[in-house]
Amino acid sequence: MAGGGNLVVTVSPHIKSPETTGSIMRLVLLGLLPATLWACVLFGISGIAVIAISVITALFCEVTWHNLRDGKGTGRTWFALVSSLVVPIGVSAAGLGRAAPAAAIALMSAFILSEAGISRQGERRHSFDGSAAVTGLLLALVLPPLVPWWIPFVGAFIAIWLGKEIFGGLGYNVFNPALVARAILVLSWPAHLTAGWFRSLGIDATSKATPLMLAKTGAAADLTAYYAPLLLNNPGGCIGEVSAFLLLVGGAMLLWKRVITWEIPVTYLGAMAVASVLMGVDPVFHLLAGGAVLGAVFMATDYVTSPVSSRGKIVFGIMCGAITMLLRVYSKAPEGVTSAILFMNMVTPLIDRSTMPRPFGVVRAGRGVRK
Amino acid sequence: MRVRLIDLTRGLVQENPLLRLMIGLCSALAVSVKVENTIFMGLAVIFVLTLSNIVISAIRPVTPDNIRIPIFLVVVSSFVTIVDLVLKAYFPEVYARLGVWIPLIVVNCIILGRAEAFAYRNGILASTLDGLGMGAGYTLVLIVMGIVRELLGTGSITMMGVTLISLGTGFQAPTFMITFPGAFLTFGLIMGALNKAQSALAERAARRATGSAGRPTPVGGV
Amino acid sequence: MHQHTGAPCEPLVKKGDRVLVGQKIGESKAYVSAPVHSSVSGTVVAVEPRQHPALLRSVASVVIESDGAFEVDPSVKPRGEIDSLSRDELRQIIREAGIVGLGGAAFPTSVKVSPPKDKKIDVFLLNGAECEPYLTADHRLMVEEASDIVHGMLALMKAVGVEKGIVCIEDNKPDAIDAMSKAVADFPNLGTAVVKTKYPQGGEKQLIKAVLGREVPPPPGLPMDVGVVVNNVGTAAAVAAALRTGMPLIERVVTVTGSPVREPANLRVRLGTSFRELIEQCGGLSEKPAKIIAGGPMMGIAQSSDEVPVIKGTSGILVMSEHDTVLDEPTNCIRCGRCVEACPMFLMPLYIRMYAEAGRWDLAARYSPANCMECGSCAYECPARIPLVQWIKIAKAEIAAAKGGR
Repeated sequence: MAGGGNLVVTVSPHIKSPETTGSIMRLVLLGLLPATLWACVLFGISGIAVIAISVITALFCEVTWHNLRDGKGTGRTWFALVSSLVVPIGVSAAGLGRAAPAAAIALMSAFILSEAGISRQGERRHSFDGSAAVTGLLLALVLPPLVPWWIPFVGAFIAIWLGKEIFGGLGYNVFNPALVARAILVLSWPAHLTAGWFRSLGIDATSKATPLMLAKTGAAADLTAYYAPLLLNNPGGCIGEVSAFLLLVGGAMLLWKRVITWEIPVTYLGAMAVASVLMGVDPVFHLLAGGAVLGAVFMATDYVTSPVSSRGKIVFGIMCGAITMLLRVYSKAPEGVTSAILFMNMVTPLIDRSTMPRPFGVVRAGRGVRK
Repeated sequence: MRVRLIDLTRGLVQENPLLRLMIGLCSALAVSVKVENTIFMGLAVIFVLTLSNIVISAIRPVTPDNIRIPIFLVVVSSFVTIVDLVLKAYFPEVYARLGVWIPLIVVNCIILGRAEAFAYRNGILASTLDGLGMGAGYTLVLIVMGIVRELLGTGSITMMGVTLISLGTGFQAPTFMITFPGAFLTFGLIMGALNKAQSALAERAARRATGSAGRPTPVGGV
Repeated sequence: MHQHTGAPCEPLVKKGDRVLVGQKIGESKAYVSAPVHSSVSGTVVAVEPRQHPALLRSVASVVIESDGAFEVDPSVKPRGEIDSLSRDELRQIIREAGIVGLGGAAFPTSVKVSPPKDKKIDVFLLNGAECEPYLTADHRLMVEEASDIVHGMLALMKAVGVEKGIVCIEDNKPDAIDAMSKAVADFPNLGTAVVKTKYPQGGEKQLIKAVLGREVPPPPGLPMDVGVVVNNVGTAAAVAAALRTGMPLIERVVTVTGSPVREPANLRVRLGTSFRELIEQCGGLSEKPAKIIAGGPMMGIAQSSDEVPVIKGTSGILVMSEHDTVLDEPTNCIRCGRCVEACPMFLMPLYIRMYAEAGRWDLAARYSPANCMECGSCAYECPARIPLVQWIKIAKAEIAAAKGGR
């Protein structure tokens, strides 16, 4: 016969969209890139260190967990885990505190590269879908730039192991892993997580409070003065809060590439604006300040932990925005994005169930089909 | 009446009230911030559980079925009152920390649950063993949770004013562990570890029984 | 002998018999069925099970060796004008000619044009929307044989007993729209409708929604429940042939395409021709094929060999090279919602799959997998490469089995 045998028989469809989980994750990373690069410029080595540790640790956590789960290279994985914990502590104890993060990064990178690059007999090389890198980067972006190096390190373990893998891995986690990590870090080391804002450029070398904190305590009378810095070069805030404008640029790219849809970001920010007007606070300031844009564009739109249907996304976004403003105005803490999104993550399955689309041709009570 | 060892050991692992039956959780999550608390709480529960089991089992023949629950409650609350007064008199500091959780033993699911499910249907000796075993299982988990949470959450374990273990001054304790979410996390991880260990044991036993190498490879996809 | 949806036919001939073009060689007494005719003249060399391109198993087949003469059976003669034939006569002709839906599902046309009395049919749609991407058979037919199509359409309409007829064409085929508009211009009760080009526009339910705004109820709902009968343009052309020449359905237009095919083309072929011959007719292959598919890329069925025959339902032959073939392993569902967005029936494929994988058929049933028409849009979009359609098929079967057992 013409084919000479060996025809592939698979189930339909026989063509597939070029999009894969990996390609989507790469686009998300690309969307975060403008703000990340600008943060690296503004915060210098301290910002770069936090980002690097967070991302590399997240990848390291994914590789080690998968290895142990699959019973692959158990010995060398345990060795890598223990050494990447012990060596930095040892270096630190020897009085070389600054070398500790470098040692950790070097050890973990070496392990990640060897697992991804070297093929061993009878084993498949580790293939990255990029989700751990996204989680790691998002985690870094919600941390202050001057946190001790071990905060992103521990945070990435929490995010990947407790936030994601323990539920069954990508797709099964209930909560956004990066936000789980942030929530636990804030409860654990509140002193580190609510200080360490820093600005390396400009006259004001260190500012002790974020604009949101100042607004909360009433220390900042004229909030309009913060509009421009919040949009372009936030003087005090998490790494990812440097520039609402650059985050929106990245978000626009994701929208254009159809990685995210408009529903959640628009309804999230819209609900925040409406709620702040109702509560009598400055809507522009609240949209720009803190993690609102980062949360609405990159955190709340996390596929795994947000509803799948269009109507569900709208409900999700509105609730997120409303809860954020409630927390910002009426709770003790100045910021409410993390808690709002985590709370809504929890009710996502419920939203999904109650916003099930009407199947074609099915007539539901009270909603007729044109005939 | 036969004495069966299983009545005593059942509560330790295979029907552990916290990890298996998942009852009596709220007190466990609340008091496990400190090892010292867990020991007193555990002893209190063992005391109340065992004695109420004995009494309920003993008065079985004269207990009318319709009003058994109020009767159980009267019995249990008598013993709880004893514990309450003793702690208040001799360990006022501990009593202050355990606070409302001691009187709440009255409505603790473990005690009422064992009364209904076991003591009301079994002999006195078996009920005694059951009370001791269940109480011990509760205490065991409580102490483990207490150790994990106090050690990590505060960096040291202190009992009656004496520091037993300390992780050193360089350790920055994650206060998360002594918050309520930390209690849930600790409890979940202990339960997960137990499940994992049990399924590993069952797998090994099954492998030994069939003599085959490993479990069948799961088929992925369709 | 099993070229259509419904009951298979019993062979009417035996080994050694001489058969003529258009001679009936298989028939069934069942209502939902259609007879099979010989497409060549020659000798029956075998009546035995052979590989079937759609059922993927061996099915009773009649193998005929052609004598090259194409001698026509005497039963093949013109049936007269539409006006001179009654509704029942028309239906009988359609049935006897073995005509089935040529869009791909191959549902017997005689059944389709015989709606129960209580169903009022007010519109007849002629489906010129291509059922799958890559396929262009309907397109070429409309451009080249517009008048035949209209003739067949009028016959089908009379058989159904409906006044109004609309030809539906996708907006990326201006030449077909032109040709069909001209062909229907003489008939005031006929019209054309231009619909958006998208997949799966060629599905009956999608077409009815797009043209008339009516939604067909979920299974067992049929288009006739909303007063519509839909037929494919190829079917209409076959009806026209059956009336004008009396020739039963022994040939169809097949799209042969795919990157390794040297000269992709639409071929009018006799049923029973092997895929291999068709591919050779199109200049052969420029590289080793990795996949040969009967039908289109979305719903077509991959073949294990090119020695399978064209049947009534074969709308296309798609050859894929190794480069075109996606063989990724499925990964975890990331709940991106693309399948929900893509589903033309507004289902939530990810949940059906999630519960199917867990064996929770009761919960899967809540997401109405029975509505799925297996178009493959969800699986096409899925970035995790999960074979969603197959999970839904499994769920459908399990739920149906559970219902049957109750």
